[in-house]
Amino acid sequence: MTSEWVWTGVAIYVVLALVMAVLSRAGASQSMSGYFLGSRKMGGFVSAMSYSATTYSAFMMIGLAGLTYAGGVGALGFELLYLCGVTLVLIFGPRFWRVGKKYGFVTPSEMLGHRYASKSAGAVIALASCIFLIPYAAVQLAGVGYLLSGMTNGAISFTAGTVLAVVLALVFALVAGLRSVAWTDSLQAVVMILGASLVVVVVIWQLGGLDMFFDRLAEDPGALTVPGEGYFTFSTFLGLTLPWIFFSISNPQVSQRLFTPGSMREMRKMLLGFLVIGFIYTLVSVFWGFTARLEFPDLASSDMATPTLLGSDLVPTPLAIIVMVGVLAACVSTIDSIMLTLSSMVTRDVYTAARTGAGERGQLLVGKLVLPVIAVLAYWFAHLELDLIAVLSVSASAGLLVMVPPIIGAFFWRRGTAAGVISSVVIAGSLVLWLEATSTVWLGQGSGIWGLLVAVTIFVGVSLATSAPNRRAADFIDASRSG
Amino acid sequence: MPEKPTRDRLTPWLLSSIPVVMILMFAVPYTLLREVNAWYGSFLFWSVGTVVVIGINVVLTREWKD
Repeated sequence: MTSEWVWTGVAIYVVLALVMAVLSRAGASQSMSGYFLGSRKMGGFVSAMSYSATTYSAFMMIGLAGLTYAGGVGALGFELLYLCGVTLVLIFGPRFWRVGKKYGFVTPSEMLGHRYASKSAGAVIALASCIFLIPYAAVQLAGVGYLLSGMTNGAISFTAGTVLAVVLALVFALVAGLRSVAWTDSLQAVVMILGASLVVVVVIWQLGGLDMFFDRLAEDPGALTVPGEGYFTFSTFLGLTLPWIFFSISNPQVSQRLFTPGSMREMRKMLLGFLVIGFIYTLVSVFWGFTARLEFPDLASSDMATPTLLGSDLVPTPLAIIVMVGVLAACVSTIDSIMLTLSSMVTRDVYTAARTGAGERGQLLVGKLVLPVIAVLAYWFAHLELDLIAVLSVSASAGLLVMVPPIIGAFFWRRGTAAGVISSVVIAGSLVLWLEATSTVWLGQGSGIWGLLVAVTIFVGVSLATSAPNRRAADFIDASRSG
Repeated sequence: MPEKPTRDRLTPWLLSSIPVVMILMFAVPYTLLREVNAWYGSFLFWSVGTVVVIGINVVLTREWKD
């Protein structure tokens, strides 16, 4: 693929996205909720697109296709079980939304800090989110650097790719906060769904149709079964799936979106729109992986499945360019949402906890100053290539899982206490990190399973041993139910 | 007392059927479909399971208005 083609594609994308970002400024306000939550007036369609773009990073198209390449259909089961887990929004969506509106919460950690009557609990959760999510964003960045340089045979260097992604993410976040991020996300999601689906249609047509495609797969032993050739043992499957089932409430960059829709009707559009898009995205990525498995069975690494397919004769060059730019944009859309969420958490839960009485304007200024700091940290981590970064990134989904008991407890268990929250997050979070850093596997189960078990035990045990903020809990739970 | 609308009575059933479908999505491919290496095996089962869950989401959010 020539670099002229690639740069032209990138240039068109940058211009279009900048226009959308600037257009989204209309009506932008100067308050924290205006900037970080789109004034709690986001429409359903844009919310659904943006939720999808935030959730499905560049690694969906590369990682899930690679997982299919290596392990067969089990990758589909894993990702679809995650999608079914988004059903948690049925229970938690309206509750987040109601309390967000009543108390004016901007971040999920601020909500937990209020519910457990402890700013320290909110600050601990905000900091734990930063520890897991900044390296996660950094690895996304490194991934896009490798992808762009790999697909252009080095014509676009690793550094150029990562600089481009981090600058775009920062610009989109700074123009109008969530509004500009959501609008550029929507552009990315629409282009990606159309482009990626078209690749599947073109490729299957070239391979002789769907019947032929599945007949060939059926001849590949284990391609369409679990555990297949042994890759997807039940423990592996469970260890991968469990953290992702709770993703919609454990990951702040998506749970914060539950505060943003303008009405419950818009939230419905967001949820259903996302489920449908997620289903298409998943099938598309799995088809890509299957195609690479059939056509290029001897790849050195399964992560090369997508780049090899897109660079092959099976995909027309203009289409490959569109999808490749889409992968770059997918990386940007995941990073800018994470940056925005972390910046709001640092401002709202750490800065204001340390400096009581900070006004809205002051907070917003701090939030905007924190954004470039997070961007630089992510960029710096991406270039470090430390083992620790990889460990933190891999453990991000398992690490954030330890926040699930305090979140569920906030709405359904009056006895939960701040001491329970802080001890469970710190101890179970550290356990996940230690298991991942030392590659320790207990009883054949993944770190997320142990993290969750320990988090539940400590949260319940310590809460029962300490006194609960009864009045606060009752008010909060009542507010979450009455709509 | 007027009888509760049917949908209200259905809600708890529909909501609790989601974890049931998800547990089946864990169990069936590893047991009954373990040897079925074809499109109508685990591939179809997981896809249909997901469509059912999405369908339940559509029904259960009908009342989400303002």
